[in-house]
Amino acid sequence: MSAVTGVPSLEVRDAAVNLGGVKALDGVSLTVQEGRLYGLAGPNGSGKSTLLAAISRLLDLTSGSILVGGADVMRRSPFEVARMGLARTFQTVRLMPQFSVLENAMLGADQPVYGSSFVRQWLMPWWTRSREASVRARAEAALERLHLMDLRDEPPLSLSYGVQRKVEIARALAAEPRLLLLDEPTAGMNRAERDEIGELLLRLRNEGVTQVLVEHDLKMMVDICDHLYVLDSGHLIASARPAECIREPKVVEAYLGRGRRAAA
Amino acid sequence: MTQQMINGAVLCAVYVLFSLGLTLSWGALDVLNLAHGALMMFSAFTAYVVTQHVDLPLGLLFVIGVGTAGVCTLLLDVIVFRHIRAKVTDKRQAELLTLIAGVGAAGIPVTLAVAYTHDSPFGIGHLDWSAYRLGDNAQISTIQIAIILLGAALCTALALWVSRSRTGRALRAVAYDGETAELMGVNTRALSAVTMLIAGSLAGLAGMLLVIYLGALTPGSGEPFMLKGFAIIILGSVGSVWGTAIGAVVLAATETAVISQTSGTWVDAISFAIILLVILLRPQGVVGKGLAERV
Amino acid sequence: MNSWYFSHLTLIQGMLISVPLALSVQIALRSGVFSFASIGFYGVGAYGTGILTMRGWPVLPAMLLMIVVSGLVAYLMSAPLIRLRGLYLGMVTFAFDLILTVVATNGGELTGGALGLLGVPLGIGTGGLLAAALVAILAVSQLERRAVGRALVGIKASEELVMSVGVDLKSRKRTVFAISAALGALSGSLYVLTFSTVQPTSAGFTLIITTLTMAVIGGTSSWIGAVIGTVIITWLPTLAATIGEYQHLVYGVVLVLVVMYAPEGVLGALRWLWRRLAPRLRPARPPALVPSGGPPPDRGAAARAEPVPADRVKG
Repeated sequence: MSAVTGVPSLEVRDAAVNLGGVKALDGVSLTVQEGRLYGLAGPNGSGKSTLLAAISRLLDLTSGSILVGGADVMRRSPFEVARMGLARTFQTVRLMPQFSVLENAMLGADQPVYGSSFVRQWLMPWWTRSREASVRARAEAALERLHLMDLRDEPPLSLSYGVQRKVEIARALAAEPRLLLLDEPTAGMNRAERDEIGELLLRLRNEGVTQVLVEHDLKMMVDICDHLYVLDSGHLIASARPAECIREPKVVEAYLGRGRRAAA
Repeated sequence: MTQQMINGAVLCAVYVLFSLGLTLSWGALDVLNLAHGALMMFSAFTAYVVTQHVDLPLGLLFVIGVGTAGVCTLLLDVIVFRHIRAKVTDKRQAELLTLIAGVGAAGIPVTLAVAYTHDSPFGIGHLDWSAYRLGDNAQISTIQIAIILLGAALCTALALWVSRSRTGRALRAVAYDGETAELMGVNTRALSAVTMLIAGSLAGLAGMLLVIYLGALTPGSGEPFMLKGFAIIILGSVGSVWGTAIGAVVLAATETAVISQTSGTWVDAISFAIILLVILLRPQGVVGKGLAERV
Repeated sequence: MNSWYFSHLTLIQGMLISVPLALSVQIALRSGVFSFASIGFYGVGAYGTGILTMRGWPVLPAMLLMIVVSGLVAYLMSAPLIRLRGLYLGMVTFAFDLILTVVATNGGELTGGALGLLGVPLGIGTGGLLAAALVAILAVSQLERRAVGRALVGIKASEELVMSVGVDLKSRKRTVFAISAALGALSGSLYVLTFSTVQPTSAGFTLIITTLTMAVIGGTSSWIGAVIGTVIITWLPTLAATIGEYQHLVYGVVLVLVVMYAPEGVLGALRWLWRRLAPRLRPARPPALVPSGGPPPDRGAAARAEPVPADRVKG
């Protein structure tokens, strides 16, 4: 709906975050165009997860601003940003142990489909029943895309870590987001699972879902992303097409430089 | 005015003793022991039960009262709180379970006291203390002097113990990061046992001094005290000895002022209102640094 | 049957009165709101309804007024409160309960001082109590279903997660706080209309212990737990004649034991049993840990694909 052509899906302007004296982000500005798949790279502690937390409003910026679909969201709550069509996954998987895989996925679709009005739950059982059905349908569709339908009734803690991550992604997909933030979605997965996720993200991109992907697997990002942003120590040090980006001296140094020095 | 300051100082000393025990276990072990107030009452109650059967010198009664609270707190930690800490990994969940278990444990001494006394006030005698006149309309008794001196002395001793002694350093290490401290060779089990024993004994001492000073306690005396202790701690920040002293001074001064201005029955409501205000306005406390700095 | 009913009438009434109160604590705990405030509102409901009916108000409007007022007051109060971390919220609401006790003691003629209200006109029968308990159960149980139920459980598990899926966390927590208070007020109203008296200590520390025990012993994950807990705590003293005046001691011990060994309560134990038995009851199926489709794991390829050794990246 934000698609007045030319308005970027997401814009970060001069974002800075101070965490107890440490500058986790320092003057980061970047733009995310609609329907593209962006990669956010950088060594550990470079501020990738901090940036995602700031975009989803779980963390306040010390200064700067963030615009989603052209609207400044600095005064909005995380749930309001979510209702603007932003969904995310977490670096540490957050699944409800007491829910089944299906119910965990349904949690993602609940708010877009029904909200959680107590009054409606009390007074309009027929209405909530029909909503429940469409939430279930959305969640099942999301699980289907990740080949998880066989596991729909399992408790998530009985699953392997990689599969838990897939459930996490399914929950985000069930929201049918327009902007999807993925924080290391393939950590702990094997190669086959990674390839599967990579293909899924590409398919989502072709369906018009804007995505920001944080990953350790640089090869995967180079393979699938349209554009790469690289962070180091809270600064944005590169912004280019992936293949060009990873050849930039600054990026090479960020990834390898300190390692070489330490090894020497 | 002088008399009010004396009363305030005595009240303050009792508050300090009581709250120090509470803040020690909370600051170092993350155990907010909600049975602390009930055990304070229980120390005086045990002494009272003893006096009903045998005639013992006051010193021995103190040993019995203080020992009862100390040992009960220790047992509570060894049997219940340690079990929860070991079993529940989620810190927030462990905190709440500890709180609920504390509420349950508090019910035990309170019920015993209610059943024995039929929910009426009890005392242990020893009410006649020589008093010294100060000026025209103020006096101070030896028990008041003793309470004030004990409060000041123990507070100082505890502050020195935490900051200077080997055990105190270990305690601060545990407060900062229990697992690392354990890896570095701190015997956390022994340390937590000592801490809880001291914490409980301080509650027992406060209870004994209070019952002699006031003449009587009731089985329900512990609960408002529990909340006042909590107010004092958060006023001065969790785990800080001097912060606790400051919190106690503020609360005692306010209460004394309120008692002198009103009929006195409102005084509890006012200290609870302080709790509400402090928690809502400055949850990190007034002094701001505890045993371990908390972010 | 009939004689049994009449000889146990007080217990039955007490049980029905306790149901909304146990639910008030259960719904709060289930939603991650660690609050004792509903005990205070129990006092507000009891005193309020008592005072109004003693001044000639009809029963139903007096009750409804107190319930609505309690809910509204709680909603307004909750704005600063729900920011607090679990333990602090618990202590603040504890303080709130004790303030109300002091206010009731100092209320002069209006509240009857330390003696409390005496001679409140009896205004409700056992049928009325049953109806009230059922309404409370219906209201709370509905909030455990569908999207609302998932959102409330989510609040307890991870606030960041529920916010990120679009749940208006603050408003949900505040509403739960208000509902909890309204349930407390309902229970207090029922109490005063049944037993015609209330004292400042009625809503004191022992009631906190009793109610917490009811909610926790049954299991806070569902309204069923609160009901089971209420039944157990109500009938426990009659099973052992010696419990009598020591009943709160038993509650205390039970509460500690449940927290230590069965934090999920009776419900949790039943679920555990069900999980052990259920696989034997339904047809066996292969363990499906590896998702269908996709080739077997290839660790070598994954390692080759890693552009930078992991130990170099840690900064």
